[in-house]
Amino acid sequence: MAHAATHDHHDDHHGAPKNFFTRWCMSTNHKDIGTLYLVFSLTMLFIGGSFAMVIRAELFKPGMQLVQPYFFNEMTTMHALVMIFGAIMPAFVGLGNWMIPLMIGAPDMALPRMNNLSFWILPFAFTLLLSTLFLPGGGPAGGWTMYPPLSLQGDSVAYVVFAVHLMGISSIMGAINIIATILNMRAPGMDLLKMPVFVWSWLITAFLLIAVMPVLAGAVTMLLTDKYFGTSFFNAAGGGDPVLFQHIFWFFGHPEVYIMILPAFGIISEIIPTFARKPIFGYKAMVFAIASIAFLSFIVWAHHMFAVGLPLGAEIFFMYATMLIAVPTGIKVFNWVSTMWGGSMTFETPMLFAIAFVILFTIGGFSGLMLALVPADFQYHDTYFVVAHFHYVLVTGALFAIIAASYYWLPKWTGRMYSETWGKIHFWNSVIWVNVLFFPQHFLGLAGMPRRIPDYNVAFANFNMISSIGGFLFGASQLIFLGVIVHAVWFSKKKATDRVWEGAKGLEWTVPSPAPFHTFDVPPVIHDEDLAHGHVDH
Amino acid sequence: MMSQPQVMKDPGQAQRLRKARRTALIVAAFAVAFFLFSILQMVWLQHAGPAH
Repeated sequence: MAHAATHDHHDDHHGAPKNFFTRWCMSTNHKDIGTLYLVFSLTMLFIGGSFAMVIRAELFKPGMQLVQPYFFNEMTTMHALVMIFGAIMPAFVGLGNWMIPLMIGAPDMALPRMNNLSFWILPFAFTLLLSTLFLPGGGPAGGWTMYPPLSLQGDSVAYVVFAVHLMGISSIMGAINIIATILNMRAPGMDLLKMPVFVWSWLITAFLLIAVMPVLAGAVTMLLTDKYFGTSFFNAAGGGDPVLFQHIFWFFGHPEVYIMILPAFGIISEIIPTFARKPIFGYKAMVFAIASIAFLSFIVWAHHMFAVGLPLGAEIFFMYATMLIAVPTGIKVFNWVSTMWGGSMTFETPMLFAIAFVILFTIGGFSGLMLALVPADFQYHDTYFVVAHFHYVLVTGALFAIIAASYYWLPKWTGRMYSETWGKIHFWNSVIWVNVLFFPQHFLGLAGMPRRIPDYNVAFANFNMISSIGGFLFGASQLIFLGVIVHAVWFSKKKATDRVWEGAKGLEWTVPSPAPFHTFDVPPVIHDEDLAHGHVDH
Repeated sequence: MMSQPQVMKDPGQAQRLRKARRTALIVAAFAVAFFLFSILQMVWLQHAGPAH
């Protein structure tokens, strides 16, 4: 069925508007909007990364070196907001936009105009957020968690709240689109349990987004009314309670962590079978594990608040509920390893990043289990151990999966192969320096170094210096990634085949490379042997 | 002017799109409900007194 799905594979951009503004600003095409999301998230990755460089430069040695404490706090706050809402989440939406219709045999997303709006809200939201750095009173500096009363000091509250509202609206519209697309636009024969794990992971993530982004919107709306309209939701002097903000924030915040990692699980579940040349081990178990993790994410939020003074019963409940997440997560890690076991493996760049993901994300998962223990958390809370933990989850987890996906699908998007040599140079630099950056932070945290401080005791000097060197080199390594992408898009002479990878299965590999502007005008006839997952014969 | 949407050559596609719009409306209604509930429960808690 290879090329039957596309009406004109000789003209890759048949139907694409010639005018630059019309094509990119008014686009309703899922591939172009996916590209816009990916370019935006890469830009935000470098902006958020530059904030991280300021943080690591200041922490290079004890004492105040380069910046004022308030600016340092602005950097920690902005780094998190930009990376979470600007880099990681839009990258997954971009990958979803590009790949979900291709994977399920749909011609486009179900609501293409809303898709355009979902994207174009984001540049305005982040312009608004980043502009606060130039306000006379400075930008937000109370941490990305925006705990009142700290976050209500300063004059940037309204800007930040409006920016968060815009990001939330964008995410919710994106999630609505993905749910409507997956539930209704699948090609005949593409049963739910034949869908790729990446599509499943996005469907479940979209439901998480629908459930929790409005809660964040509600929480920041109440911050706004507390600041400017005389309410006292979180003001103890007026009969409110600041701890209630923490409850409602983390009811959003913990599922948010899974919003950033479940699509990564989906990506890894696509890449490992391709390069192990075996179907994924335990397809249904993988799907149910993702759903279980999503469910459990709603009943663990207070593990972020053990030190706030919860009743003992609540602490015990949230401790055990959190530890329960290790079960479905363990199933996933076991199944990835089992997929590789006995496989005919090759180690192209996407596979290297996927294997690094499995190992390093597991380290982040284990340190998360340590933090789930109430008595231990009283020691670890708000230390660099927490910083090390969530960076193992979000950098070597989410970001590595996004990079792996970019290498994996780039030939399908551009029709050209990237440089495997430079891809591997990028991988080895990334994997070495990211560990030099974050692993010593475990020791700093266990020794008692608090997070979010610009100065520290000389006892912490050595590990901080090592961590900063790792940070600078990890940051510089990502310039290689940028170079590889630029080379592949504009300069590479090596054409990609339609299937690209020898072991690749799934509908997305049955269309030409580069994927034509319009695909699956007529729903494809599904042959089980073309599919990667489910009840299919290989 | 928006770029030209893809021409649907499959008659079943129009019906799928109609169903998709209905799904989108239902999901959007849930999102609005969660937003309102998150604020209303706080209003209720404030009237009921401190939570702990």
